[in-house]
Amino acid sequence: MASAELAAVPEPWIDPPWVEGANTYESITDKVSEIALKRETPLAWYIAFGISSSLAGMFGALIGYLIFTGVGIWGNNSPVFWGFPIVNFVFWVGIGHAGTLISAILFLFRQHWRTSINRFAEAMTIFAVVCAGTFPGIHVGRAWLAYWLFPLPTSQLSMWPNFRSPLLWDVFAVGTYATVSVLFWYMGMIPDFATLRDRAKNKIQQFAYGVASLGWTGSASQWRVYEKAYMLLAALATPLVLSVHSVVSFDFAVSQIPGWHTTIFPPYFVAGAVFSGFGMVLTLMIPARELFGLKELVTMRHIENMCKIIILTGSIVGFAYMTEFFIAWYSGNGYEKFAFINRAFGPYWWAYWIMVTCNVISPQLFWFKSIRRNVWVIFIITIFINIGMWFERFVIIVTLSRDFLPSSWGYYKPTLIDILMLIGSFGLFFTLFLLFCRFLPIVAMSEVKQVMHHVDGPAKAGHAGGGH
Amino acid sequence: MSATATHSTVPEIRAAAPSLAATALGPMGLGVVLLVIAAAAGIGGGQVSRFWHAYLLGVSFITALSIGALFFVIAHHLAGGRWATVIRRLAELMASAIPYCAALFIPIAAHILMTDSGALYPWNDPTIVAGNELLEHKSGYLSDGFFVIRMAIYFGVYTLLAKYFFGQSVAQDTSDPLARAKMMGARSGPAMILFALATNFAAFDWLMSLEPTWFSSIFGVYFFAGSVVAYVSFMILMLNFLQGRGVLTQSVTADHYHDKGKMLFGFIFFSGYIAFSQYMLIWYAAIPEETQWYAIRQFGPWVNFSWFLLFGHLLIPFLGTMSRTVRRNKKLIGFWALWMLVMSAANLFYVIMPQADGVEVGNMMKHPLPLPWLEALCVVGALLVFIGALVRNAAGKNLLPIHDPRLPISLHHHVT
Repeated sequence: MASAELAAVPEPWIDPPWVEGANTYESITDKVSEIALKRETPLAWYIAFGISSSLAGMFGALIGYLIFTGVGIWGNNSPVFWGFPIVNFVFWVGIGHAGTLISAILFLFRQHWRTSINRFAEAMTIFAVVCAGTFPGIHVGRAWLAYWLFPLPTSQLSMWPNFRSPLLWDVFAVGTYATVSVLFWYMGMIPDFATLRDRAKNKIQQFAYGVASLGWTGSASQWRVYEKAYMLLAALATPLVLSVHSVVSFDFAVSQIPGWHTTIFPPYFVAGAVFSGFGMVLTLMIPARELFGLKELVTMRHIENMCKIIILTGSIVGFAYMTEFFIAWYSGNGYEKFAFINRAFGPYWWAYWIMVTCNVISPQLFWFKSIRRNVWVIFIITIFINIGMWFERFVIIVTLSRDFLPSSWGYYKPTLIDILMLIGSFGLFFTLFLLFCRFLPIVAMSEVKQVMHHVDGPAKAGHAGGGH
Repeated sequence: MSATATHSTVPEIRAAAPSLAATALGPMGLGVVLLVIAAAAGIGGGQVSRFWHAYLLGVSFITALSIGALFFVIAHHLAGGRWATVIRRLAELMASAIPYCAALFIPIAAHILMTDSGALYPWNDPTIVAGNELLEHKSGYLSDGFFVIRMAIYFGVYTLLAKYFFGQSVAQDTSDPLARAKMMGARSGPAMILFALATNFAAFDWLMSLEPTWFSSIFGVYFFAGSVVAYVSFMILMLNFLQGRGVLTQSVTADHYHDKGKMLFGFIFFSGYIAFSQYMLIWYAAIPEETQWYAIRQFGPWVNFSWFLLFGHLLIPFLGTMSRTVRRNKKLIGFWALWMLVMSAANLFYVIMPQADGVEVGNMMKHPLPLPWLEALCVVGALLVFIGALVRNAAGKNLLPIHDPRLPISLHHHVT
């Protein structure tokens, strides 16, 4: 009876097969492991890697230049002491949010579609956190003393970092986040590493994947422990999705600076981070699925779902912009009101309106199904989202340029080095990402296989009623 | 794998008798009587400010229940939800009680329009506003006429949304279930935007403006999170109550309780997170315009109530609802639902009541109440009206959307 009843459920509410085409367990393993194992590296990869690693090299050289010369090479100056470095830090931490959301929250919400994209998003998270971590590290001025950020008991220092400073909380929040993300990512890859190890033809690959797979044999007891650990890490990572960007928002909101101190900041920053993270996942995923022949694993339904998350979080961001504007007026606080009017109509009006256009208006296009199904349009919109979210942080930070005292007002201008370092951080991000794409299992093979026979709807009720 | 194997052979009750419409008058009438008694005792006893605050507490409590339910209904359609289809009609019934909440707000509107009293909202008293720069600044916004117009808009939006989704859902029982399900899905997006705007500003108006010089941009989210907690608690209790009377005994299973329990757990945490964010940022920045709200609650007699709420609304139920065993047991999760329903009222009590007697703006010496009998009377009175409204709305209706295309999936829902 159950099968018959469920067979009557109309199409819109039946999870489609999340893997399209005539795929079997074997063909999925073939497709994914071939990317890492095949001998010939595509020319496009070499070109992309050449460009991004050069930019990453430039980033490294500029960091060297910065350390030798000092932070004067940046545009940071009174009154905007937090220039590009902090904008870039917050931007990259935000990008790093989609991974945990997909791995942890969507896992707990039983969103089976996450399996095709989680590995990819987790990798992106980690590389984004690497880029994010670089900026505060070099922003401290004397980068060789960056370890002072940690509360280390040392006799020569005779002091501790200020535990009441959100900048220190950031060290803990981002550090925890990076640790849990790496653990989650690595643990998820173990079964897939074992698959690569077993399929590898040459000695180096066999050795490398062999070491990485930590002796995985795929026995029932290993799987039991693995599933349990996965569940626990997912539960652990869930509060981290909220905590990291909440703490990042505290960097601004605990202060008394007009435009920074507003209570909606924590949830608004979290929504913005997820928004930008999904934007970046799509920006990378759309070309990657094309290049590596993954269209049957990362289907249009996957992309559509991500677009829907973008509308949701983008609307929350727009809602927060409106609320803080309203409260700035409602508060009756002249400084608060000025900060917001100045954002929209002051010297940085262009940055404000880029932010609003990209973050609030552009994602609304995803209400239309035809747009959610057009990869080119989606790709362009996600680029806008990346730009918009970078500008959001820029707008927040240049609020400093006009504070309480008109005599101390200034106009922040980034130097060429600032801009090149931002570009360089993209180089670092893409370099890591391309290495991941080339050498690691970019789709969680074992997890995708689980959802092939784990579809809600007719298939779940028994084989007799299965439609595919 | 047959889900039917575990079902009892006694058929469940799936529809409410039309005769219930008359039965509804009982609790509704009793509720109104209690509210009238509260008014007579409060105003007659010279506790005008306290009465109006207690009355606002009662009506905001049931409005929160309705708003939380409306959110759930819209979110269900928006997310293409399936598992919750069996309980959707019950949520629609709760959401459709919103016109009754609006009716109970009429005395407040009348109080604002017809008097210059600052007993409830200090900004309504011209003598308080005069000379106060901050209040004069927003006197156009916080003025009796505009305030009441906005109140009508919020309730208009809520009623429109609740009526639409309930109406379509009931119509689904007799015609075009698939087309209507799709249509509700398509309309849920704009509906959610309207809902979010209305709730945000309603919270600013009804609750935040009790201290008219205070402001917090997260306050709308704070009220929303608390409303969802109240709704989920009420829903779990209602399911327990109905199943005890043979209603939906087979359709609603441990798996549905499990998911509802997870939702309760999630929103307990979320509302705690929002409350923490608000407190943390205001405490840390220590700007007097903002700390005034917490100063009343943190120093002096209200501080114990703050602790009570921290443990009662967040820490204890957070641990209590964490376990899978608890969530799957309808009695145990029912206990926590009752706990959280009481705590939801306590949360609103904490938001509203310290403002009572606040004729002087910024007065730090506001007194707590000796024994909250007047508040209890108002909450129970309003709750009875709400229950009466539920019964009245339910009369003659199916208690689950019997032809919704997603119902079979929901009936066979298993938490994995």
